[in-house]
Amino acid sequence: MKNIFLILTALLILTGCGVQSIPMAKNEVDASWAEVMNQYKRRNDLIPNLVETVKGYAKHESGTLEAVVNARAKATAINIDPTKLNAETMQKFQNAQGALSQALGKLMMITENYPDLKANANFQALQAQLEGTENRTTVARNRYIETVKNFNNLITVFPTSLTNRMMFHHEPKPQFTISEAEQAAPQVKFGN
Amino acid sequence: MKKAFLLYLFLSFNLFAELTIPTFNHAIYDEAGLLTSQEVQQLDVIIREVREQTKAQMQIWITPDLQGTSIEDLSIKAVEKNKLGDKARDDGLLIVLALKDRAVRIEVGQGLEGNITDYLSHQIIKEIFVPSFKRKEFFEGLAQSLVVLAKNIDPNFSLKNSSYTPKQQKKPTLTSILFIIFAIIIFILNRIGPTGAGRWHSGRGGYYGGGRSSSGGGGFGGFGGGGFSGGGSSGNW
Repeated sequence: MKNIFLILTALLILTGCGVQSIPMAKNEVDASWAEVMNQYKRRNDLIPNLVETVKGYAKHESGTLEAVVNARAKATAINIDPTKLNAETMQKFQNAQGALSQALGKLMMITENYPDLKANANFQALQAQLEGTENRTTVARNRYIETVKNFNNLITVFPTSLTNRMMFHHEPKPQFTISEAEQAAPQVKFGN
Repeated sequence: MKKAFLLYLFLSFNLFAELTIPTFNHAIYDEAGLLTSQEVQQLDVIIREVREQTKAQMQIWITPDLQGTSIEDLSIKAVEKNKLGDKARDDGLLIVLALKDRAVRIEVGQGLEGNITDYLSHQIIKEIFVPSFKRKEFFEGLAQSLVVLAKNIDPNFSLKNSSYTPKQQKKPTLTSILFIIFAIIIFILNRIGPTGAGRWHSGRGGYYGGGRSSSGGGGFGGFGGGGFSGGGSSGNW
């Protein structure tokens, strides 16, 4: 009887100590990371169509188009599984996506010089989708940042940090930083 | 460690203090007092019909300004807080207007993204919101957009209870031109005439009249959804 009581108290204390909340927080991080990858993939999927459409109108801009195609290839190649998510892979991911953002920004800028292209319905649809995707990646990133903040707090701040050290041995998850490439990237916006 | 914790508390407090996101207690949440109470009621009837026929939950939020952030940020925070739509269907939709910034956004729940693509949202903004808001016809723009959105969710959608009929964009006719000239003459006469001529002043102008309406009533509620991932489109008028 006494033993059962002891076990129950121990359980109660443990549930407040991260036995439950740490794995839950980790699942949240994994899910929000999957969403980040998903939304960036969505952007990658839009690009071939966009490049084809622009090509039809802006034949002389092959350099810019090629830069986009190359940056996309590099960005698509980096696919990070949540278990392999660390500061280094995160940096690689960010650099690749940042470079793609920059190349895309340049491409969207030169399209300003082609009124026929801008009037093309297909192009307008792609532009709206691209704009929507940029917003989705922002939302996904912000949610990832929130879940990581929560997870890192759990595993580094007392008392749940003790549970982590004893049972889980998780490392803090990497956060997003604004890369230089992205800071420099011109925003894709509609002119009125 | 303690310092870091205090800093964290301070920062998180600041984050909360940054934006005021309302809890929507009415399908048309007009913080800016832009619409008259009749207009709010008419929109409410349309939104209820949309809910009945398509199940989707549409919400309008009219706010005075962007509070220093972007309309995308304000909008996603509003849907995260209010959890529009059904939990299983994720079929909430929010239209946000920030008056001073002349910014508008359609935020689309994940369950509606297939029917209401970013491009459709973009087109609604470009072809309905921008022109009608420029003419200060806010009610007209909002009502029209609701019908278009509902028809894209369910092609069979049609207004049954609402008295609203989309306004025809007529070219000015001779009579209307004559009427305007007449009105101008009256106005000038009124201005230069004796002070007793105040009888020409008519009632209040249509917009900016009504206060915030919260008639409540049935049909509103059913929150618990969520499932927004940033789909939709934004624009300026």
